[in-house]
Amino acid sequence: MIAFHSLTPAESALLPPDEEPRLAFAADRGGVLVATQARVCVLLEGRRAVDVLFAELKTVSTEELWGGARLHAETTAGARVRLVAGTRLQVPEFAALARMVNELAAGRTPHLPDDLKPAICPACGAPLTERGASCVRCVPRRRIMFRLLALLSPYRNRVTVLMAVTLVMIGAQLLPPWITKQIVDRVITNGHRDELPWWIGGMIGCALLFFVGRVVNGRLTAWLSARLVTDLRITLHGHLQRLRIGWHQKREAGELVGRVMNDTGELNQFLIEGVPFIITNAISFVAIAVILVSINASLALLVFLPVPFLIIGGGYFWRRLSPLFHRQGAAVGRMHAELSESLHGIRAVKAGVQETRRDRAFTTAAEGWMGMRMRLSNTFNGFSEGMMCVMSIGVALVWWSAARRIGVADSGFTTGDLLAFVGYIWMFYGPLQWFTAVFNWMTHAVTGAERIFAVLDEKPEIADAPSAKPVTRIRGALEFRDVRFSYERGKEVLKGVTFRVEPGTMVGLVGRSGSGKSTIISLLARFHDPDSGHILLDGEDLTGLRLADLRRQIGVVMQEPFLFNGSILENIRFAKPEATFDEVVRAARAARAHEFILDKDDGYDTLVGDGGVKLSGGEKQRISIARAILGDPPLLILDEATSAVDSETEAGIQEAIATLIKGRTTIAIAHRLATLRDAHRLVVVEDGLIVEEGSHEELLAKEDGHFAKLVKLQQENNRIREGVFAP
Amino acid sequence: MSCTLSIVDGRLTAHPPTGEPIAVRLVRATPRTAPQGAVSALDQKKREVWWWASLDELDPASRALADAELAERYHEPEILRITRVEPLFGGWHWAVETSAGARRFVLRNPDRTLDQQADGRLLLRDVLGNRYVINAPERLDPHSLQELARIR
Repeated sequence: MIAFHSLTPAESALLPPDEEPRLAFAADRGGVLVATQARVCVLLEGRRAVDVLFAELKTVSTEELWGGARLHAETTAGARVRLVAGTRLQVPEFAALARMVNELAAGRTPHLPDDLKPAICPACGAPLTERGASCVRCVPRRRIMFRLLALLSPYRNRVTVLMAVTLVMIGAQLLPPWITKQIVDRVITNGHRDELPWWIGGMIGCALLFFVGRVVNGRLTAWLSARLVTDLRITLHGHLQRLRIGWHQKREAGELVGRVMNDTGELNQFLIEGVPFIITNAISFVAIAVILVSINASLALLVFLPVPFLIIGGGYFWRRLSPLFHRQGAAVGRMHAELSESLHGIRAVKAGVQETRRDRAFTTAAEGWMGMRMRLSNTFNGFSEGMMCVMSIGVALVWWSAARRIGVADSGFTTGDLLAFVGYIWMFYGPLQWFTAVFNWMTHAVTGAERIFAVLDEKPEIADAPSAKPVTRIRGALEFRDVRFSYERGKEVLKGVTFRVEPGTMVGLVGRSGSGKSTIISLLARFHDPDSGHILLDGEDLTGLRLADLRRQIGVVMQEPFLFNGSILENIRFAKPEATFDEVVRAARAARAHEFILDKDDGYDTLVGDGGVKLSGGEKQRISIARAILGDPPLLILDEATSAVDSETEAGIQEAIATLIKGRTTIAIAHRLATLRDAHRLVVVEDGLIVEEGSHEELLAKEDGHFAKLVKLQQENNRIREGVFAP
Repeated sequence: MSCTLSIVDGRLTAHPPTGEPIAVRLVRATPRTAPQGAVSALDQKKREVWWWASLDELDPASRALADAELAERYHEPEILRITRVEPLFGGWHWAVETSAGARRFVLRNPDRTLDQQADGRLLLRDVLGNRYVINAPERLDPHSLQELARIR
């Protein structure tokens, strides 16, 4: 049996006696779904509430709901039976379940999917921040700390020096109270005046040593932590570049930028401030405790008395403080958002006479921040003073108890001892109040480090098989043979696509958005590999070719061309870094881009801005066409190359494209059918299948054909548009 | 003359005054701001079959079917008591008692996922997309209020 849920004896007893459970699942909104070799049924409230025999079952399907999902069975008689409902927690399981029951009903043996990422921690049952994330509570702190430390191994020598310096520093900090004791007891009380210069020299020496230690320590720590974080960032960047497109598609670029910058930054902060804090304080804490006990054990116990209060009190305050920090951050964010909305939307605000309303919105956000700020500082003030109060009580206790011992004959307790105690006690208490805060901080940093390691542990892109062939100039004969593909299991996007493109010809892919056109192109560039079927280039399966070689043979002109922040020259050269300036200009001329480039103040040196913001849509497209011409790829992908431009520009781009596609095998996607006039053949895609194929004329001639319908629809749209915009 | 509802072959089916009965999906027009407000019936091709400005227009039998379907589709347990709210790495971790039992969930970006309605209801959406509602936050017990105050 495939176990999502193990049936209790009472539940098993509800099944027909001659049937074995094959699959069981407890839906979290009631009911246990069980599939046997002959039926799928639901156990609810001690009975079989729903029963569908496989003989009558057509298919089981999931339906996503507003706050969850449910499973239905469709019967061969055309009826629908509701099986179970669950919360969002179970959505992926429901999809898997539907597929598995269908396989069982078809007589196959289903497999438990291995890619179901848990949404709750398998160890402690706490909810996770995202599916498959590691649990904040169960994060293996020690293992991650070790992994971080391992990153320091190339810098072993500096780490050794750092540790030595740290020890010296701690010594230099701990000595002065002891020297004080010697001065009081030996010099003042017992009159060894000749020793005074030595003790004073020791004190000054300690101060100097501490100063030098601090400087060296600070520099080394800063260097090491910055080094570590820099190494991590570089490794992360390199690794991210080489991860599959599919992996990137599931994540937002912004979130990844966050990982590379914020998580590593937080780590840096912790390494530079947190780690030295923990190490020095832990060592001095123990050392001071030992010294105090060795001076006077019973008095030392008195000093330890407030320790639990300091730790618990610090923890209590921290629990109140840290949400306030979060919320202050959120309040700043709100203010930012309101401000930028007011300024970016200034035209809309003025046109709609919304100034007062925007004022109110911003005032609310600004006052919100003010309130949060006050709560934060009020809590914080109370915190420091409260801790100070507990410490002072501790100090008072020591004075009270110690002062009465001095001079009592058999106590052996001296004035020097008292002064030493008082000197150590502040050093001892001080760091304790931050215990919880630093511990929390460590959890954050370690979880950040864990997220970084999670990325680094991700396997890179499809590696070339050792037998992968190098590719030199291809002819460009392309063939898709029964290609099937799904981004997520169970949701097939391509359902058996077959078509051919002769070398040097252009094929246009036509179809509604979501029909699978872009997927076909992604597979061609090998951003993904098909689940089954073959893509052949000059008769060779793509998977047998070297990936980098293959991609060099393919030029892409995208719907929204991406330009890098740099000059126009650099952007065109991107396709062929070694191209001479003459070659670039020739490509720009062919792409009808030369003249608009010269018209700019800085000509070819014009900076395009982030993502090309300083250029119009048509200009960006022509630059990307020039880029493709310069790269001179035998295989070309055009993804709706003319969109969002006026008709004059469009005519220019059409000419440029005509130049570009000459002699190249081209696959073009266009929503606008006029774009595809130059295509030798058109392939109509619908719902992951090819439904029509032929030349423009052939397809138009088909009265009730898919293409003919699309054309008609678009002509109507165009008429409406012209009607609106015509002068 | 309003449209009525029935179950035909396990499917919720609308019977408009004119035209054929057709299997429909009921959707709320404003599930957040006015869940008891307008409801629309969409057919499989997402075309509107009927619009009820209020479900009060339905006859009692149809009304019962609509209520049951909407309750399942718009599952939104009411939070009755808040055991704990704490900010941990990456989100706010909640432990609550709801009308559908005890739940633990993570809320990210409380600015967007903790939504106070004009009528005082507080709507929550966790990282997985589950919804919760606190109908009258000010009437929660003191402990719940104290926990809630950490995030609001």
